[in-house]
Amino acid sequence: MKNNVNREVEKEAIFGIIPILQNEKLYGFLDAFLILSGYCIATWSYTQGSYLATLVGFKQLLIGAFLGAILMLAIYQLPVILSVRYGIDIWIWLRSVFGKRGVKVMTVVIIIINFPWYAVCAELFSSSMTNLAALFGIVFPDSLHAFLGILCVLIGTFIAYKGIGAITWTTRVLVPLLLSLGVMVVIVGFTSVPFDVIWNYKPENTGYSNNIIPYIISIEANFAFVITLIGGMSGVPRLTKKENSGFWAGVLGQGLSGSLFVVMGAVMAIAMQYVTGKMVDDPTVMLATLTVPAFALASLLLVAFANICKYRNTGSRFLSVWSYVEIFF
Amino acid sequence: MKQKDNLQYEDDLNKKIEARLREMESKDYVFAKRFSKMDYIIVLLVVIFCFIFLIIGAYL
Repeated sequence: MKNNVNREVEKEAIFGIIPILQNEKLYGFLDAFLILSGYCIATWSYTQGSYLATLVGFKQLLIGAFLGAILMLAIYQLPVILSVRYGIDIWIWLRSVFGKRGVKVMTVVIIIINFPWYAVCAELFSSSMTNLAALFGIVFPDSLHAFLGILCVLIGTFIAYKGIGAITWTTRVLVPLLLSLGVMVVIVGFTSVPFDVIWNYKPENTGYSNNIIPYIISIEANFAFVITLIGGMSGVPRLTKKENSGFWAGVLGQGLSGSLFVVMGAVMAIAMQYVTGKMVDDPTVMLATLTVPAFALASLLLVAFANICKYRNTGSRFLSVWSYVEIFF
Repeated sequence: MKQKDNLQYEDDLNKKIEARLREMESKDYVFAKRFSKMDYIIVLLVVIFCFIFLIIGAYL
């Protein structure tokens, strides 16, 4: 019984409500940075990038995506310092702001707000797998679509359930690969069309007579984009050994890695518009069109794993919140 | 029976939390390296830098 409790306490200390002690902390800056990069890299980043390309020129887009994101993150991530100091998650220290009951409401609200994002991930995993099979000449029936989406949820949750070791190792492998894919897509985008086409890109018709308005909307979209990641802002930093490591891992993980993928989505959309006349934000279609199908295959696999990663993070969040709900509701 | 086990588990868990809090409140507990004044200054500079470039961006 005692051993059981000790094991549960260890689990709770990682995922749940128990304050984690300094000697139990696991991460330096790099590991926390990679895990939080994995948390914010997802296929919806491409959608955000192509959306921004409909509002502003490429230079404005670069400024907004990186500096807009970092500005907002540097301010709203400041309470992460408390999470690192006391080893507690956002759900615990928010009690000081909302009270115990208020936190219960906020917990449910944040999960509900974020769930549509995860549905998008499962959906994209399913379509990636279908496209992947099609590249090998296998046609999946439509009835498999929902099954593949659920499979994404199950694999991600399984990795989360396996614990912090599995999360760390999958992250160490997948996130650098995903970042490499991002860099590769940007290079392909820039080399497949004349450099000036992307660098001097400006949207033809934003629908506004005053250019400042779409710029402000794009900055607001970047602020909103990083704020949606609030659910993950303390779960990982509370496991870091230094306060500045936890803080900067959050700011730069989301502000640099996340924004790189947003820019990547924009580069793809602009290059594809130039080549095909259509703004496309799917990396697989872009790589297949602008390079060779082998690149598209690699992209499909990575996109699929990125969505599992996202569900893995959701899974760990779910386990964390579930332990909280189980004990206090 | 299961409910009794759960209550026992909660009770043990709460004791563990109390023990951890006591340890953190003890004088010899070493906290994570603090966010220094220099760190706060860097954050402020980053915010100012981003803000200035966001304004410049409006005129590009």
